Amino acid sequence: MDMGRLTSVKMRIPRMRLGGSALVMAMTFAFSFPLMGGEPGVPAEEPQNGTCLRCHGMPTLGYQDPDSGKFINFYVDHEKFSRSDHGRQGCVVCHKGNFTVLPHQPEGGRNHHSCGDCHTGEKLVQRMRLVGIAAQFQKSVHVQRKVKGFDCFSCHNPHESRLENRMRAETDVVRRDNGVCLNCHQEMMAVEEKHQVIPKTGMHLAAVRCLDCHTPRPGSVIHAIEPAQRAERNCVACHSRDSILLTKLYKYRLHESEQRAGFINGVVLSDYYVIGMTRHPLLDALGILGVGGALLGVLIHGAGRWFATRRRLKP
Amino acid sequence: MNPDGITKKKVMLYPLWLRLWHWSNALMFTLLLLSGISLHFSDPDAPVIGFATARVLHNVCGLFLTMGFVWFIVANWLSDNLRHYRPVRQNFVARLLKQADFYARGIFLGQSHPFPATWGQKFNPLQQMTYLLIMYLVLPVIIVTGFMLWVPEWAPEQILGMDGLWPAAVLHYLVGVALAVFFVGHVYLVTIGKTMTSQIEKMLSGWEEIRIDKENDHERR
Repeated sequence: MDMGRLTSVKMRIPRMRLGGSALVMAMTFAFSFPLMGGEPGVPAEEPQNGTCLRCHGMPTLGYQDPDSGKFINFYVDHEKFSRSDHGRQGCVVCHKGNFTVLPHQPEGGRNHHSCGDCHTGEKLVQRMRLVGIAAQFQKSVHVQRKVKGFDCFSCHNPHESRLENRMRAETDVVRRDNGVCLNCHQEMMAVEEKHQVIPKTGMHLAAVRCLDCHTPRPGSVIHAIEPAQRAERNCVACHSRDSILLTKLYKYRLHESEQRAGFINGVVLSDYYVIGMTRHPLLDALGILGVGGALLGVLIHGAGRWFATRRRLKP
Repeated sequence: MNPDGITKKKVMLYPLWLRLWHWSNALMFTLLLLSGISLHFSDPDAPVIGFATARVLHNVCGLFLTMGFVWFIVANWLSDNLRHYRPVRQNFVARLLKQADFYARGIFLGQSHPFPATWGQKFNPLQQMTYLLIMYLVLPVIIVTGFMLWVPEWAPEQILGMDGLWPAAVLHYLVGVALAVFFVGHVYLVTIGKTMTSQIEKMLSGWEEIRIDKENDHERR
């Protein structure tokens, strides 16, 4: 399989902005901790996660990158990590190198991992659809435009990613997924202003994911993020019975609702109302029957009047 | 005056404010119906009106319909037109059944209208009930739910564990269907006047020929 890009992409620690003074304090605090007691060049005992998290569990741990000027965050949220799909892994399963010195000297520099390093094996790769994802990723605007350092981890935080997250309420899914995009794009543009073409912009941005409009149809190609000019602009793409949201944002929810309440109820009882999409087949039938019945009724009544009048007027 | 003491006289039963409201309401109603169908039964392959256009049209017409509704309620309250909306409680059910019987049977036999328009009551009992329900219950419901859909922030966040917009949307749709049925019936009943167009003529001119008899001498106005 072609895992070229996936295997070549390197791990990058998620970033966040931090106050400068907090950083200085955090670094000072971090350096004041004794590390694993080893001397340089002497193999040390393999550290446990708790040892790493003594420093990396501090939200203020990070530094300002001299090249980009950005703050690089070394914080790992222990709570989120332990709940994540990788939460049972030891830190050193992925992070190899000499951690007895500061700054650490990880093997191959700071960014040296890819999904494909661990996610190997035909069955696993097939189950995770990694080959298809890799192909989609190659078509993504981020790859096409050679965005520096863009890789799997730019969007998927291995310390927090959890497959079950996609089953959460859509508002949470939207907030989390859009947060990933906004992490970079908020700095690049006035997002809401750029999307003024969409009515009720703020509500739309809070209700659907960037990916729902910025990836091709159907939703199975969610990793092939397209350039802005090719974004979905047709209202009916979402606001219709065959809404693309059913293959994207609501894909898992719909499946879960169907299993819980059956196909019709699953659609009907969806937790969110989207005009044109969330339609009750029985209500639709009721409406058509009601208005159709009224039309038929007046036609019959009118015809009856016409015949009755003709008969009365006959000499 | 004929030998029975019955006089016929043309009176202004539909003042200008009412006619202006009626016809603007009819236009808004038609546009709301078409745009509402386009939005609800949204189909990229067979749009009645394009979704984006229908959205704007529905919102604008909804706003005008609301303004017209407020205009009607205030003017109806201030003018003496409100008298036509006060139900006659005496023999209420019997009067309703009599009118229904006329539509179901009498009209085919060439019988005359059981409740012709008078100065005090221009509606027949069925008309009066329908208009009362439409103007004072159905329209307020569709307006309120319409605004909840237009400005979803006004809708409750959740109702019975569902998105708060759901009840508003379902109610808006059902009431819309009811109004569409009313619309069909209303347009059809236009044709049951003396001539096919006499009802439209009176709604354009405002004048209607009513019967004034000895018992209703106060109606000689």
